[in-house]
This record gives sequence, C-alpha cells and structure tokens, in this order.
Amino acid sequence: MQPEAPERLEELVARALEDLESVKTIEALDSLKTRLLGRKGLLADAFAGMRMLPEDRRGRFGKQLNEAKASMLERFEAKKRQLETGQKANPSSSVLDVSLPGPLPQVGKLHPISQVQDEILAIFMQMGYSVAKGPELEDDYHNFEALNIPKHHPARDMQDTFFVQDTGGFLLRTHTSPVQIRVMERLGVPAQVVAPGRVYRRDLDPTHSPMFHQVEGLMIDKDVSFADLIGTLDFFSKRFFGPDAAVRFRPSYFPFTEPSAEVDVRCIFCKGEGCRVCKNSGYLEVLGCGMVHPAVLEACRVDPDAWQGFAFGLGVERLAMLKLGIDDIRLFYENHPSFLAQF
Amino acid sequence: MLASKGLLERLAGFSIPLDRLEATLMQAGFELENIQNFVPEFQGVVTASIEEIRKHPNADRLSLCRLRSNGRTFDVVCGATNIHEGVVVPLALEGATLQGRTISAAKIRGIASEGMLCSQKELGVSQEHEGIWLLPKGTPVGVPLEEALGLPDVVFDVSIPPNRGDALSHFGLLRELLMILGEPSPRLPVQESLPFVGETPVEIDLAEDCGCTGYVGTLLENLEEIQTPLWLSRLLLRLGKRSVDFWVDLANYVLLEVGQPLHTFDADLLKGAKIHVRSDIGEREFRALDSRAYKIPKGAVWILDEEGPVALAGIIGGADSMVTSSTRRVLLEAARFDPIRIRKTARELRLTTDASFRFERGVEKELAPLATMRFLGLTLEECPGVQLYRPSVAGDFQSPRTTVHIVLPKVEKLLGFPLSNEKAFDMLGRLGEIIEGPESGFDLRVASYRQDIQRPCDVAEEIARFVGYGSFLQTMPKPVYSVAMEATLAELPVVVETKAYLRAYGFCEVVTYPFSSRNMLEALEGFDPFDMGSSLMLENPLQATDPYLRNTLALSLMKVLRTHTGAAKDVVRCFEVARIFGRSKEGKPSERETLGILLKGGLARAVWERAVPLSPLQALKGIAENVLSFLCLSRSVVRPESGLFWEANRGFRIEEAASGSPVAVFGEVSQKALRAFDVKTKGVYFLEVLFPQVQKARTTAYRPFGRFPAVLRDISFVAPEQLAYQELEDAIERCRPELLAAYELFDVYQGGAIPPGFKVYNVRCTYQSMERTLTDEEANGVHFGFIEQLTQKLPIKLRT
Repeated sequence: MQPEAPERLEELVARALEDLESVKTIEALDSLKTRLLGRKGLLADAFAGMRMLPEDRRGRFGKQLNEAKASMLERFEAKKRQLETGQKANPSSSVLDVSLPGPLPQVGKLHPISQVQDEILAIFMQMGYSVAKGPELEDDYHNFEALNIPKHHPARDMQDTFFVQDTGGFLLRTHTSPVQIRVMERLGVPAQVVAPGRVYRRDLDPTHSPMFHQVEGLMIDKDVSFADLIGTLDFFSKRFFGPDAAVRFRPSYFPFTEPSAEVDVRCIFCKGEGCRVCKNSGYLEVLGCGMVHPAVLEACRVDPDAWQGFAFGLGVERLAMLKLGIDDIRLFYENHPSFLAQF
Repeated sequence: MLASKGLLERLAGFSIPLDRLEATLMQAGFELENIQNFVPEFQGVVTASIEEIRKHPNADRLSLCRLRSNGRTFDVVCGATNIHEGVVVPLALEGATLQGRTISAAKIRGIASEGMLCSQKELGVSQEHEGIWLLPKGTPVGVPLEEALGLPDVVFDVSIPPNRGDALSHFGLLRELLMILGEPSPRLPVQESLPFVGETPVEIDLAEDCGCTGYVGTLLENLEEIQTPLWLSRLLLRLGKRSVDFWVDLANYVLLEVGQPLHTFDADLLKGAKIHVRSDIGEREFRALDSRAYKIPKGAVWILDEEGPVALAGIIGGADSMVTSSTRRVLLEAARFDPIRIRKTARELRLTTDASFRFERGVEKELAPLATMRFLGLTLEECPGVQLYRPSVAGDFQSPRTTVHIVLPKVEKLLGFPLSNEKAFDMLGRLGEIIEGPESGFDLRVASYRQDIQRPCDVAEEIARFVGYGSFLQTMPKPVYSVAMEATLAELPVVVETKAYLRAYGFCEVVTYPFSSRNMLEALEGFDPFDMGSSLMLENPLQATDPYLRNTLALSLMKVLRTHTGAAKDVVRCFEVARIFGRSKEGKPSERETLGILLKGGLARAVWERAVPLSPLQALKGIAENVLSFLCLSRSVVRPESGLFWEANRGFRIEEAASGSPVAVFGEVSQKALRAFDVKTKGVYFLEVLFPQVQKARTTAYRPFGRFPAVLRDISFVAPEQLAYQELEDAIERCRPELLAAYELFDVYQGGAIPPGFKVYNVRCTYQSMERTLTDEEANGVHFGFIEQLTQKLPIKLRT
C-alpha cells in the first residue's frame, strides 16, 4: 500500500466514520477496528508514510494523525458500549418502552394487622423477648381470678365478656394477659416473653370491635423496675413511631399491675397541636402497663419478695390505625379486596 | 363521672386554674374524657320580681308589667300570658345582649318599655320558648342571672378507676386533687349541730347477714311544697341529672357532693314504725320508682316496712313509697351495703343506678351519718319550717384502717428510683399516719377512705404519682436469656413461613370474626373436617343471630367470599390462619389453629405460567402438601371425602398415614353450600390445614450430593385409566435402582393417539453416580432394567 498523503487523511477519517455507523454487531466492529487501527491497519500505514514527508511538514501531520486516532478510538468505544447495551444510537427508534409496567409476579398481601403485629414482635424480639401463645377459649381463673380480678369485682366491667354456654365458665379471653399466667405456670421465672393473639369483648363501634388483637409483654427477674418499664416502652414507641415520637406516661389502674400506667404518644397527625383524632388533647393513648401485682405472682407460685417485673398490653389495631391513618376499625374485618391491596 | 369546676371550687374555698386542674387530674391518673364549657349566652340580665301587671292601653295581647330589682322599679311591655304577680323572672335591661342581640329601650304601641322579659330559648339555656321563664320561688331578686344559674362553669368528664370509689364525688375528687397538689385536705361541708325536735320514731332492724352493716333513718316533718332552687336544678342539669322534685334533687346533690347514696321515702306511705333490712327473700316482682316492674332475684338485699319490701337496697326505691310534690313527711335513708351483693343483683337485673354504681365500688363506711347531716342542713336552709328528728341508727360506721409496713429500699427497688427519707415521709404523710418502727422501715396507717391501699406496691404507686411519672429515670432491664423458654415457646415459625409462602403465591390474608349462625352451620351440612365435635355457643352473643363459634374456617371465609365477589372480582385468593372451636367427646371445650384458603379463578398466572392452567384441585393439593411439609409431618395419604359441603367426587382429605387422623381437607365447594351463603358464583375451592398442637422441631442434616454429570432419560408409560399415580410411585420406590438420583412426573394425558381407557404418564429419570461419570451404556443398562421391573410389577407398557 502506498503511504497516505496528508491531504487524504480527512477522507480516510470520513470513510471510517461511515463504516462505523453501519456496523451492527460487536464482531463487525472488532474487524473494522483491526482494519483501521490495528497493527497493520490503515492508520499504521499513514504513520509509516509520515517518514516520507519533508522534515518541516512531518511534525504537523504527526499531530493530525494522533488526533484522528484518539477521536476514532473514542468513537469505537462509544459504539461498543451502544452495541453491548443493545441500545440504538437514535433513541426515537427504541423498541422497549421502559415506562410500561414490568411483568411482576402477582404477589399477595399480608393483612395490615399481621404486618403491624410482626413489626411489634420484631422490636421486642430484638430486645430479647421470646414469643408465647395461649388459648382464646379461657377459663375464668386464668382470664380473671389469677389476674387479681375476683368474681364480683367492678373491674370486670372494664371488659365486657363473651361467655360460652354449658362449659362451666369458659369464656373468650378478654385480653392476652392470661398468657402471663400460663407462661409463669409452665416455665416459672425469670421470664421475658411477648404474646400476640386475638381477644374478644362485647363491643362494636368505629373504634371498638368484638374481636381484636393484642400483644402482651411480661418481664420478671430479680430487680426489673418501674424505671425499666418506662425505658423499655419509650424505646419501643420510638422504634415503632420514629425517633421523634414523644412519649408520655401517666398513672392508670389495672387490677393485675401496681403501679399501673397508661402510655400516650404525641399525636402523629397534628404533632401535638390538637386535632380530631386526638380529641384536641395532643396525645394518643397507645398502651397500658405496670409492675406485675404481687397477687398475680403469688397465684403463679412465684415469691413476690424475691421476684419482680413488669407487664404491658398493646392494642395492635390501635397502633395499626395510627400508623396507617385508618379511622374505622371495622375496615380491618370487612376484608375488602381494595382495602387489603393497599398495604 | 361528671364534675363541676364551680362545685369543686366552692368545696375548696378557692379557685383553681383550669390548666392546673387538668394537669392534676392527669397526674392523679384520672383520665379526662371530655371538657364542656358552660358560658352564659346573655349579658346584662338580672332577676326581677313582678309587682304589678296591667293591660296595655293600646293592645289587647300585651300587658304592662312593673318589676322590682336592685331596689328600683322597671316598666316593661310584655306579650306573654304565663306571668303573674309575685313571680321572679329574668329581666334583660337596656343594653343587655341575648345570644348576640342587643336590647334597647323602645316604645311599644306608644308605651315605653325599659327592658324585656325573657324565655329560656331567648336566653339560650334551653329550647323552651313558650312563655317567660318563671324562676323558682326563693330565687334571689336583683342578682345577675348568670350568678343565679351558677355560670360560667366547666364540667369535666373524668374516668375514675374502679378501685377508687372514694373519688366518686366532688368532695372525694377534690380531696384527691389537693393531696396531689400537696394542699391540706378539704373539710366535709357538714353542720355540726342541728335543731332536732326529738328522736326519729322509727326502729331500724338489721337482720343477721343481711348485706347492710349500718343504717341511718331520719324523719323530717312539717314539709311544704318546695321548688328546687335554681342553682341546684341548673347544676344537676350540667351534671347530667334531670331535676325531678326537691327531695330527689337534694338527695342527688348530696350524692354528687359527698358520695353517699341516699333514699327518701314518703313516711306517710310506710306501714308501721319499723324498717327492716333483710336478704332472705326469694325471687319476687317489684315495681320500682321508674314505674317499671322488675323480677328481683333471690339473695337481693331488701328494705321492708311492716308489710313488705319498699326498696331494693342500694339500687332503686319502690314506686309505692316514693316522694311526690304532696309529700309532707320524709324518711331519709343513708346506709352502707355490701358491694358484692349489690353488684350481683344489679348485674342480674342489668340495671346500673348512681347508687348501685357507688355501692359496688365501695362507699366510705363513715359517710352515712355525715351525709345525713349534710342533707338535713341543706333542707333547713331551703325550708326553714321543717322539723328534724334525731337520726335513728343501727349497725356501725367504724372503718377498719389498714397498716402497711414499708421498707424504703424495697420501694426504691420496685420503682428504680432513689428516695430520701424526708421526701418519702412528706409524701406518705398525705396518705395517713407514719408510725416509725424498728430499723427495717416503718408502718403507714392508711386513711380510712383509701381502702385501695393494702400492700407496699400500692404505696409505691402513690409515691410514683406524687413524684410524677414524667420525672422517672428511664433505664433498660438486663435481658433474660432462657434457652428453655425459647425452646418451649417457639411455635410461630411455621405460621410465619406459611403466610410468607401463600403471599408469594398471590394469596391475600384476611381476618374474620369466629361468630356464626345456625343457618350457616346448617348450610355446611355438618361439615366438621377436624372432628371438633358439637359447636360451642355464646351465652351473650353480640348479635343474637350469631351465637355459634366456628368449627371450620369455611364458615368465616365463605362470608369473605361474599364481600369479594360483591366487589365484582372473578378472582378470589385469600387465606386466614386462625382458631376453630368445638367440644371434645368428653364435653370439654377445645380449640385448634388451622389455615383456611379460598380459591376461585385459579392461581396467579405469573407464578404458574403454564400453557394449560393447573386445575384448582391440583393446585390446592400442591399447596396443602407444601404447608404440610413445613410442619414436618410424616407420610400422608389422600382419600376422597364425602359430605354435602363438596361437589360430588370433588372433596378430598389428607390423613396422616400412621394415625389416619385428618390433617387437611380440600375440594370444590358445592353449589348448594354457595347458595346458602348467598354467593352467586361457582368454581370455588376451599382448603383447610390443621396445625399441630405441638410443632416438631425441624432438623435438617446435610447429605452428600453427586458432582458427576447426570444422565436424563424420559419414560412414557401407557397405563389403564384407573391406575393412580400413587401406585406408579409406590412401584418406582420399590424398584428404585441405586443410580436413580431423582425422578419427576412431567406430564399426564389421555386421548389423541392413546386408546380409550388408557392414559400416559411421562416420567423423567435422573441417573447419577457419586463416584464417576456414567457412560450412556451404563445408564441405559440401569434404565431399561428399571423399566423392565416396573412393567412386570404394574399393568403398564412402555409407549412406543
């Protein structure tokens, strides 16, 4: 091949670009690259021909050649990337409309109550709690008596109970607290458990359902204190509602705890300003808790002089309603497909 | 309980700012449910008495009234006809505003009117608009009307815990608030001495074990008809009580003020001069003062005169002895009744009255004589001519006082809060007397009204309340790691795994009530897949039609089906993990946890992408088998299941092979059952899997696997139609060559070139050696030997 004259360099480059444009495969690209830029390619020939030029033109032509080589290498790389990703140079001729939905498998949904319950359990399991379960059909002893609620105690009015006929006093448990008793009866102390489950009360309105879910917590050891209870539930509330959640503890009454407390979080809707959801109080009641009453420990044959601890009960629906912004508890049990599909 | 800020402040003798009251209620642990503001909607209205009424000279329907108020007279033109001379009325003076409207002096038909007489509606106190509001006799004249009405006032709806009967009155609530505030206790507003005219000539007879430990009966005579004073009737109204007549209103007031329920008898309607309290009267009818007839159960506590029952003690009085406006002699009852007996009777009657509510929660023992004196004192103020008799008393009103031994370090340990002795003593001094004992602590002799304080933990709560829950340290307990507990309690993973699995397969979880009706039970035709036995029934269902507890999730899921098909979905894929209930053969109630699945319209396609969709029955069986595998059940067998819940020949059950007990049922729901649930659709499939009561621990052990290339060989068997795959599988297992690493059924079909009465099973065999690469010849040798054995064992032929 004759050495290329510098005048023809531009022509050479133009032809090469034309060829590059028409290349369709990586293989064709590679062979074009070899033909142009390879060790025995056209550009190499031009470099060889440079030596034939007069001294004074050599420098300029060499510079032109180097620039042409660099620009062509760049174009080859770009073309290669294009071919590898399968994209056409012109976006308007694109085959795949990426805005179309991807054909995902039709995955189902877990009920929002399950999701929130799992989230609650996960937080407590991280703190070292085991998970326990108990029967929904309970006897009077475990649901009331052992929890320091004797027969004819007005505290029984706090929970309107469903009784089961001809069973010698069996009932649908009104809270998950009987699981405290069953755990201590079966495994003694120390104990650190959470017990999720369904509970039943004779009630139906936008904020009450005859069946709902609770998560019970119980922690008994030698010196678990009321300050520990407050620390634990403050941690839970901040994990569940977010680090900015403001938590408030106030005295309350449960026959099976003493001292007893109710926990409020600052209204997550109005940030404490006062709104319809929090009845202008700026706070929302989320759970009840307290130090396990010595009478309860005694009923489980645990010595209250040697052991102490706390218990708490969370309403799962309550927490789910707050977290998901649901204003009618009955939506949970209607199971409307358009409702379930949202979560 | 509704509490009036005005009344609290009157009892305290000083005013308490609203925000301080709210904060103190919260610190006390008395939840504030609601706050209602009562502000007058008028201004510049005074009470005035009408001195003279004349006809208006220029108008037939108008009259001219001359009124007196604040020592001067006013002439007012009035159109109402219910006024008469001597009555006290609200007079809006010039410049007064009535609900925003300003009153000015005007000439009406030529006569100047210096103001306006008002109806209740014009004042915004009620909807009553007929006539001028005639204020009760005795209403002070010349005072601003709002003052006479006790306005402005704020009413709190406070929730008092059931163990704090002592706070169920304004006095009790105030005592609690002042204690929290560290202020001295209020004094009961009781006159120390009253001018008695003699002894009450009524003997009180408490029968043994009658449920009454103390009774005060007091006679009041020479009574005239008294109208309830305005401040009282308005206060009662704000506190949710209708004003009835003076005696009832006054008794209600004393109850709300000091917490002692009182009852007033018309003494002229009582027979004889003796009151008996007895509880040995059988069941009987009783006409109460609400004019309803009650059937009173045995064991109730009764108040009787010489002829029979006159009141149901602690709950409600009788119609035959009730006071009326014509009552001239009253016998006042103040007593202490047994909380449990009152509660039992009230519960059986489903009747809660103000009295029963307080007796159930414990009325202070010492209160009855004091409340009697309060009632008499107030009567004397309103009715100066009354003759009071000295109360006749039976039983005693001494209250035992509890002594709690306190060891301060123990209290600190419980609370996790350090306490100085001085601080503790200061706080506990508000609860009773401290008796310093030997070194290990001291005794607290608790005030008699705090019956709820029995143990050191109760005292600890008091300290925590005084300190304020908000000022507690927050600490974290050291976790209790107990392997035993973790091992015994770990029964959730299978549920978690099952739910995740079903979710991945496109099923939505639902949550349903376990309640069911007789119709629904009947619609299922006795369907009881897991032998739960006879259905349990609630004594007090929420809806009378739904008293049964489900014995299968089918009862609940069929209702969901109705919601879902109602939402015009031709696809239903939902599941629930929940309890079912029943009664064992020994009659004991029992419950089990099951998984229920409802399927209509097949599985989600993206998961099961096949040219021909899998039949829903096969799909459900696959799901059942997978879930059962999570449960680590041993071998199971599938059997047809009869019963009208299923379409004919479309119901099956899976039994544990060893025990024969059912672990799952599945099939197509019959048209009849669907119709009974009011579902207008078909092709609905149901699966229910029983979870074991104790989950076996899952153990997985590593097995070495072949690393040399496998050889695949497909076999196509022609088999008689009746030959079940199970038989083929059993034969494969029996003849299985060592080199057969795996086999899989990949197609079953009939028709086409296959003669009628036969079907084809296509099975893919994988041959693999653990030691070397198999040659084709080696694999073929084993494969054809295997086929040879199978065709000898079963009536099958290799398809050629």
